[in-house]
Amino acid sequence: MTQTPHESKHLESAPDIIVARDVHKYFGSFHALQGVNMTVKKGEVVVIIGPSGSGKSTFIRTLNRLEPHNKGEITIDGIELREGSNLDAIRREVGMVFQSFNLFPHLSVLQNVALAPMKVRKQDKATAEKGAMDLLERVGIANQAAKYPAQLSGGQQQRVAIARALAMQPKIMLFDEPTSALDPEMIKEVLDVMKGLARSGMTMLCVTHEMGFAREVADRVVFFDQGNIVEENTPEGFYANPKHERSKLFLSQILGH
Amino acid sequence: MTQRNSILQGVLLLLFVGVLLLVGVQVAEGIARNKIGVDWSVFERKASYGNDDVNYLAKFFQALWFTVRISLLSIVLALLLGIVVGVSRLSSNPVVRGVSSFYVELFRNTPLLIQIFFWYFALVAALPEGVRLALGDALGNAFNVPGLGEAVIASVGALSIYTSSYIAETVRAGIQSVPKGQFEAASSLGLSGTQSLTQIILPQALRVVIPPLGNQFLNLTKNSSLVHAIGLSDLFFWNVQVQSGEGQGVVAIISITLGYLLLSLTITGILNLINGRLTLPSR
Amino acid sequence: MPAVLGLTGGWIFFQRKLGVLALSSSLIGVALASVLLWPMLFPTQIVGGLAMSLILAFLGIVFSLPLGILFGVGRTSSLPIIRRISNVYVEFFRSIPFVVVIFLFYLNLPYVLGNNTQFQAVVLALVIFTSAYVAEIVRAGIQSLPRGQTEAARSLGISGTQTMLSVVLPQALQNMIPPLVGQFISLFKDTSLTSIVAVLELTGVARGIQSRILVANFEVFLFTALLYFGVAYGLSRLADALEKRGPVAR
Repeated sequence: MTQTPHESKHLESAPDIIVARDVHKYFGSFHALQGVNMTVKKGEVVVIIGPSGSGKSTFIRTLNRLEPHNKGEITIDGIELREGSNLDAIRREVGMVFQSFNLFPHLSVLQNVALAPMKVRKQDKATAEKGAMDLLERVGIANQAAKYPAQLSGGQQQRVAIARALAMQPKIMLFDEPTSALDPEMIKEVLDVMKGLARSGMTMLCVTHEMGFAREVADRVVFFDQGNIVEENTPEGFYANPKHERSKLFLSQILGH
Repeated sequence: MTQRNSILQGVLLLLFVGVLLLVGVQVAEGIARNKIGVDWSVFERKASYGNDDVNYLAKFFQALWFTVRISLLSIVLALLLGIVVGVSRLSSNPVVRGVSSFYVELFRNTPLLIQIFFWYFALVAALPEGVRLALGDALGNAFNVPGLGEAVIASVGALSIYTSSYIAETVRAGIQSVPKGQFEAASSLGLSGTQSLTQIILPQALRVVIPPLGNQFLNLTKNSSLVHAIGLSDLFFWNVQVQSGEGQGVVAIISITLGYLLLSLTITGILNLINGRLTLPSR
Repeated sequence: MPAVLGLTGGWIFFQRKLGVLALSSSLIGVALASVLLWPMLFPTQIVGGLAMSLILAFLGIVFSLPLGILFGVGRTSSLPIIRRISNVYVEFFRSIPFVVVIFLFYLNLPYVLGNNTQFQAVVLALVIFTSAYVAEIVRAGIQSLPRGQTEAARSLGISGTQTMLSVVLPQALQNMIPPLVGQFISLFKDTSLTSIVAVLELTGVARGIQSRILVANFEVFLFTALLYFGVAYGLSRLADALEKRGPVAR
């Protein structure tokens, strides 16, 4: 369990898959992102932490243009994100998992997962449902395929949401506080799925305060505060020996009890 | 406590029944004093209107059927128009949004009866003659009211547009009731705007919208009673004929009240059935 | 649709040689008959059409309030007989068309009230019909209040009736003001139906003018519609403003 992912992955030679340069975002007069620069290698697992309102969620939402950025440049797998037609192509490459699951309540679990492959990838129903069942198997929830989201627990719903995002075979997975809305006893089942995914070589950006997850599978921890990156560090380094004053203060607040 | 409640209930029930009896007796006396018989055999008399030589009972069911058909056609059109206008009210295009808002405000804030007259006396007359005659003939025959096709155009037009302005508001509220996260999840999966709307948003909005939509269907059916004002032989028209032609106003009004109650209860029943079907299972 | 209306309007207007004359005369005619408080076209009419519509709607809403509150509170009662009576009353009048109620009262009530009481009968029809809808507003207003309000009052030892009168209703009534304005707008539009039993309110006056001059149907009904629209839209803006201020109880 104490394996360090860095050595096994050879990230140094991996190509850049996300490049963000000087990204700015305004909500009215509020300057939510103040020139964020970040590069993510293919296969890298990055954990983003920071206080609420620090811009961490906003930043990962700009990566699939749920929030269009106002200034700067974002390149995903060689395609630049901007106003225009490349958006659907990028969204197919980027899966997203939300804090509040956002499963489609009127569709069964299986239909939730099979919908996008059918409508976007134009797969036929049988192929899409076969693929969906495989993914549900992978997140350990295949026996609930016929149920509706409201019949599942929060942890189960979030695992379905992960399967739904994976169904588009994305190259990058974004997680926006995937365990924050869960009861404590359900957090582990979701984190286990995420860890498995990390070990399979998926490029992942996770906004999460789960320190165990970060220590176990993250290659890098990025600390956001007041709309920008304050510190980047290895998980070991960040939690044991943070460099920046604001990181120290933040860690003492979340770990202090 | 419970004893006091029972006494209270008993007193109130007696009061309510008492008031009903008082009014009933007064009306009955008044009717007797004015020598107006309540003669249910009026149903067997030959109807004094129309040229199909049948009795008032047959006419009653013809009228009921007419009310059902004109309501159904108007409901379908109102629903289609209402969905289009309701979705347009949320458009990002300010012109589309403005036009649809204007549509809703205009038709919601004028009486239906005036709209029916407006259609009948002004709009239908202004249709190009070929269209007016062809459409009028077609609708007149379809509704078994040959020669009154123009009144049918006016009625269906006014009923469906009036109701569509209410349905549009219902649809808009229904769409807005779907959480923003659903749009985000759909678009982050790569679904297009149209796909998100048809696959994700509308099916969910539909469930929110069905009860108020059912109310609009009920209202439309009740409102169809106004088409008698431009000479169409619906249920209310039958009532007027029996009242003025045969002097049997009491029989007539009781009969159509029951007729409309039957229609309302049927619609409510169907809606409850649909609602039960659409309810999603939950823990 | 509005564009179509405008175009057809213009087209009719253009077609008619005396279009301008017909338009202006009918506008002035309806305006005088509707707005002014003197009998211009109908010697038996004491007030103008628009004024009559407003008076009917006002009488209807004011007198429907006590009945509506009675049956609305009745629908939330824990006593089954009271609840059932209130339910039957509300559901019955909401299931039949307004024009049926008007006709029923107009024809039969004079037997109870005496000769020449058709006007009172029509007003009573408006009151009874509207009270069923007001009852629904009252019920929704009461049920939208947090349960904690009743529980707090009862736990202080206040009786059920007192809780309703001094805690629940005052809050619920304030929240009901916007939907009641909406109900007034509906009622104002629905007073047009009284023209079917020959009450000379705005629609009745418009029909009277239309059937006398016969040439300017479009203008007569457009102008009448605009008069209704002006009042109804103005009131709906007012209701929106009241609603934006938000519910009083939180």
